[in-house]
Amino acid sequence: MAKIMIVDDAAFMRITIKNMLKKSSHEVVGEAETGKVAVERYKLLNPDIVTMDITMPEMDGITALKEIIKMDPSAKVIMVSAMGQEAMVREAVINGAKGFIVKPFKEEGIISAIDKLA
Amino acid sequence: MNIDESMLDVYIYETQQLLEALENTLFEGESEKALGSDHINEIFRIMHTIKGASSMMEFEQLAKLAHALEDMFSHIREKGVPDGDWQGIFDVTFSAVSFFNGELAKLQDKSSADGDATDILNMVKAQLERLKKGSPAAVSGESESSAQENMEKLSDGAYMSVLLPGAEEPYYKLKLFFEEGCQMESIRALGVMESIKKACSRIAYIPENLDSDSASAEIVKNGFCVYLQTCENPDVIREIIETTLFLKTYSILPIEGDDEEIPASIRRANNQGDEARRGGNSESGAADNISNEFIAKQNFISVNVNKLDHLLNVVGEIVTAQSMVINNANFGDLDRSGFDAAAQQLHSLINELQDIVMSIRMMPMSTLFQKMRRLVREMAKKLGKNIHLEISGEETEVDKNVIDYLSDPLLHIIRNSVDHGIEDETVRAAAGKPARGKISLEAHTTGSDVIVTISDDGRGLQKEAILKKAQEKGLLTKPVEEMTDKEIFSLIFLPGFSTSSEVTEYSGRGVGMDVVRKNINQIGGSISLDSVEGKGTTHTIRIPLTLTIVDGMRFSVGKTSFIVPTVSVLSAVKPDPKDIITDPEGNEMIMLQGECYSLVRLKDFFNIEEGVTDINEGMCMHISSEDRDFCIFFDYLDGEYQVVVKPLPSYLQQCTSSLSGIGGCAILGDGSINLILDVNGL
Repeated sequence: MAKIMIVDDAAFMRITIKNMLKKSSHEVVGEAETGKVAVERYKLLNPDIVTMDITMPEMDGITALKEIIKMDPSAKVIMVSAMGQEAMVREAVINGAKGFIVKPFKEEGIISAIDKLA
Repeated sequence: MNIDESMLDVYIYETQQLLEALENTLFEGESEKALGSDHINEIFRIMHTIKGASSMMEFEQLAKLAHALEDMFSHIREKGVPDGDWQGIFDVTFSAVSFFNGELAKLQDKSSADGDATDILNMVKAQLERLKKGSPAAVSGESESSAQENMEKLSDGAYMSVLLPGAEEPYYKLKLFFEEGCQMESIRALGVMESIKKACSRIAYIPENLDSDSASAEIVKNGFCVYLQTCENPDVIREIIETTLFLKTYSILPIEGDDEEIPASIRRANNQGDEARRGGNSESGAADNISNEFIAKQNFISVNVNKLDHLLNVVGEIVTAQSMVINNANFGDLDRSGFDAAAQQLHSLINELQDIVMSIRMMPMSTLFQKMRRLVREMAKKLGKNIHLEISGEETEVDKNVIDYLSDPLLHIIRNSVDHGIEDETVRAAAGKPARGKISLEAHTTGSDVIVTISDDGRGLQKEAILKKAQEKGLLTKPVEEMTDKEIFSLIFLPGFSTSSEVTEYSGRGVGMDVVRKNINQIGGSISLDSVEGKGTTHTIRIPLTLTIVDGMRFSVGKTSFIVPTVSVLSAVKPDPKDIITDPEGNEMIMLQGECYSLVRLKDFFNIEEGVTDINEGMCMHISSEDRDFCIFFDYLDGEYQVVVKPLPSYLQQCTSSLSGIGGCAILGDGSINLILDVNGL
């Protein structure tokens, strides 16, 4: 069982991912609605895995990823991206994201991704 | 569907919020005839979020449209609007917002979002084409080629490690396939390279250029092939590979160093890696700056209104239960000084709780006013008028239900103002008015009421036309000479006044104003109207802040207690049998202050067994309903109360036909159940 933190500015996406993970053995320990909050909560919650949206206000997912990796080089961050964000995803991958998932995704997709890293 | 149905509510709510923010930005931009970079970013982000959520909900059309807009604003962000023609962009974006709103409304009504976005999609694409064509070719070409250069640099150098001279490490061939449909395979391959390169001294891969457009397709077809040289045990590589997300299969096999298969590039030493990476970082730095300018706006959580209704009900029950406990405490000879203090504290806490619950249900009027802004914009455009809507007090908060009820009347009044109130520019100029018509919409609170005023500087109401029309319809109740302006204007609220277009030709008003008044009266509000011919018209709507707490008069018939909303009560009298008149059909009337009103005996109306029948023993109340004044007859008046209105239990609501005249119920502090009279149903 892994502790998960969900980062997304859209409540819809956060709830969707959370609902999807309900059927897995993992536990959502926290959520964040901006990259900035995510970095702060990461220190506090120390989750095993983070799902990170890319486009967010205040601080985007890429910057948040970099900040988190700076604090914890072994951090496991899965980017949640959409079609058309190739350049951003590419940057995330180079900067230490453990992988990414492309919207729209299915329950099996996100669960298997997290299972793999857990 | 993959997603829980209940997510639909969240989706709708959030998307509406985003659209609203978008619209605000657009209005702001439109008034300045351009959008700033932070606004463009915000719109881009909003469209991006809507695209993601819509695709998750499998609303393909919405996702496509959001995607197209995202593309357009992405282009604008990079290249700007070369010809400075923002209007086309605003128009197409506004149309898209309307389309989104329409589809969301359908979803809200539990029907499917089946609208076809093709037209609007084509409009967006046409705008984008126009933007692309308009960009000075040299500039775009240059920036494109420089981007190309950058990419080449990255792909060429970044992943080649330096080979130490003389090292003779074994070579491996790694081949892997990703799961079908996981998308962006080339970047996934890049991720694999990122994670294994630390363990390798030399590395090369096919397809060689992961940034090319065809790379993903190639990987899907042939797999991703990596040639690497490492001194590590292949198990180390295996371990790393196995953490790759969406990996379907992979194989890792040792090969000979002189195998012809190994690309020549792997033997080439390359130092550019670090440099290229640094380049990449500075690029992302620029992106960060942009995104830092995004303004955080989410400080709210959404709650289902049903839950709030339930909460309010429960709090109502607590208030009742508390007063039952405190009033009925039987202590005998025990010392109850401690109890009183505690009871007092409980009482104040519960009051506070009630206030908080009420405040949760309060919503600012801004959403509603925003809708009006859209309406004015659309209508003015269609009618070719130049109209400015001035809004103030949109932060005024009222109960959510009030907003729902207020929406239609406001739409109606504003539609009238735009359509008939404000004149064409030429007419305005001739009358010496500024060319731009003005409608102002304002809200503020006074005590327990909200006042909403809608005024325009249009042509105003024409008294003669109204009087003429009323005379034709036989609606006048007193001589024309005796009527004040206000009385004349209020004629247009009469049900029979007119719904025909004739009046709109004269005065421009009168269309369905009776419906407006009905709606407002329904929630215990009132509307009045003032107008100066040639100068404009002002509507004033007064509505209670909340619908759930009502001031009422309590009275009884037999053992049944009723509450009638105080707003409907004109007076209460002890009737004199002399004033009762019975018409030939047996209907009773009562004379009050020289006027004759029909008398409704509630005992008979509701078939209550007990209760007085003798006029001398009971009481009368003069009631004003939306279409007539009348009197009710009952046993005795109990006093004035403030009650929390609760809906009738659902099993009672099923037989509504027999329940006309009852609008709800309320439990008072003494534990008694009181029926709330719906005066319009009597």
